[in-house]
Amino acid sequence: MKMKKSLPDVIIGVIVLIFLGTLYAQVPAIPEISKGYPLGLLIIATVMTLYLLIRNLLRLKNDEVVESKIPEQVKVIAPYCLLIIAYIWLLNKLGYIISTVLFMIASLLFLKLKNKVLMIVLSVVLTCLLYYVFTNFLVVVLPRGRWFNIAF
Amino acid sequence: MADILLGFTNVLQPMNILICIGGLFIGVLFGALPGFSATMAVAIFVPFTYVMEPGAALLLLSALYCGGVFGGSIPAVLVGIPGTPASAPTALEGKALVRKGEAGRALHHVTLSSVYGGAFSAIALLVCAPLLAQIAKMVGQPEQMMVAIFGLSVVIMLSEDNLFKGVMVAIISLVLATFGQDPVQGFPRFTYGFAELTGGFSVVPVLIGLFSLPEVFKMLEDPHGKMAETGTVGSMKLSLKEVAGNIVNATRSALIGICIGIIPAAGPDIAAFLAYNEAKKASKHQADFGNGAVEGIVSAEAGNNGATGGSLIPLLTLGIPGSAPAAIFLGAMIIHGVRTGPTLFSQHADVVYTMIIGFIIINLLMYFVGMVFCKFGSLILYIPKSILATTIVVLAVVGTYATGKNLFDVWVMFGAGLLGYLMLRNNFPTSPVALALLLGTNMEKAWSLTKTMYEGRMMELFQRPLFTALLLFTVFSFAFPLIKMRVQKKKKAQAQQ
Repeated sequence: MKMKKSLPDVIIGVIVLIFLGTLYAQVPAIPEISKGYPLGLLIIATVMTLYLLIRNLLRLKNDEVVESKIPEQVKVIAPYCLLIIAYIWLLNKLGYIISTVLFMIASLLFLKLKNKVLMIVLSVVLTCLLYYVFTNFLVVVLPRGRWFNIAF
Repeated sequence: MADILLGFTNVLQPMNILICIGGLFIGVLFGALPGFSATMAVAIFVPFTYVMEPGAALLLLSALYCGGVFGGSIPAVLVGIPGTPASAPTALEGKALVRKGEAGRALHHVTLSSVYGGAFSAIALLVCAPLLAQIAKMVGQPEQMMVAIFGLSVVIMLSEDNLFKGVMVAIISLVLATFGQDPVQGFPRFTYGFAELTGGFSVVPVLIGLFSLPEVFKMLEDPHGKMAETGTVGSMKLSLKEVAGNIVNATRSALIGICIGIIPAAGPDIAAFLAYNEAKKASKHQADFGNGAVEGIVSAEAGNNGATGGSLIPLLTLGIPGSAPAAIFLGAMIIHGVRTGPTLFSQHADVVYTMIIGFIIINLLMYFVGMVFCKFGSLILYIPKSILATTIVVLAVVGTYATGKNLFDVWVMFGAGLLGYLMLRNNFPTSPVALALLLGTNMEKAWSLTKTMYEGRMMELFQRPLFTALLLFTVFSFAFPLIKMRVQKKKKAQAQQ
């Protein structure tokens, strides 16, 4: 895909401005005594973002067109992000052990690990090892499942 | 002198040496795991010390602390993921050295400079503790504020390639650091209605996400390769000339670490960044920084380990715990009936000198323990990226969950990771985020309290000698790189003409 070199910075500038806007909307709710410092920073951040945006908008017209790798990157990273989101979401539904084993198998399949035995053994052994170390040595209670839970 | 000899005799007992080695092994493991830190290692093992002699107990805690600070550097070099925030500058250089097939050399430098910084700070603890305690007494809110602003000057060096974007990222990150209750009055701000945000963003989940997930996403772009692109870890051997060439850098960084360590609320993380910054300023090869500069690794490691001994000085001499690990040390000492403060050195000389001499021995032992970890740890580079990426995600998720015991932090870690990747791909530096989040809360608190204390009579601040000295350092620190960049630009333009 081809795009103007400055376009990503323009998009980022707009997104940051929207984010800063959501913060400005919350400023009136902050008591006077606590608002000075964050408001000062917000104003500086806004001025800098506006500068970035305007500078890149001015450049955009005469900017060179470059080959962007974004579509290929999105193709690989977006499905993997969905996998991580599903993993985190399932952590307190299925508990640490089942969700981690499932995530590891899914991840290794996605990343095309050919050795299926290694895939299953690694997923189960690493999950159980981490569970044992965290629970028994580090005294961390890992997420328990609301739908289903395995613990030992 | 008799007390020092007594300290040596206590530490060199076989059981105590074993305790030191065991503590170092466990500490390094804690440091190397994302989400775990030296502080957590010390905290978790305090109950184990109940049944131990006071001297042995403090040796174990010291070994855990030193090992924890060092341990974070191993994954920082090997996979570019700092185990603790204090290793973030090491990751900047380590990754580049791994790509060049020089992981072995990088790891040896990390170990040596950590040992040097740690041992140097331990000697400072032994020799200059009373003197340094006087400096610690001079540190108030205005000085803490100046240290935080001084720390932010590192952003300029970290984002030399894209100064504007670096500063912009730092300012926005300082805004993020204001989320949650304000540090003086306690009013919640920018919470978007989430109760979890009342305490603000926890720094550790953000840093785990910011430094680990972008590496995973980069691995996904070529999941079949291995981390060491050259296929080798490389030799771990270092020439004497190479080691000697870094002595000045390591000494300067260790001194910075000690000074930062004695300042309350500033620890190894800030020391590492500041030492890295000063090393870059002083270097004749500034262009190498960010591309695998050994000087960068040496400075960061000597700096963060230098802070370990420094952070105990206010505790031992004044009874003031200036950092989280120092507070845990204080708790352990109270449990064992050892009262810190001015009378410590006379009333509990045996325990305190065992601890201080132990600090020196522990740092020397760390070389051998560290080399074992580096040797085995470097095998990571031969693991296929598909396995490594999957393992990193699981470790990042579990490690983040362990820090706060809630899934909200895990979501924050994921968000920070995604943001970090987008930033990297669009030439926005990520290190200023770490720095601003680490310094932000302290800076706001110190700023608010200073404003309240000196309302309408700000000029009186200049009557504080340490404040004035820090202000001058800060002005120099901001101005020097900018002037240097301008001069270099002019020279380049003249050369082109």
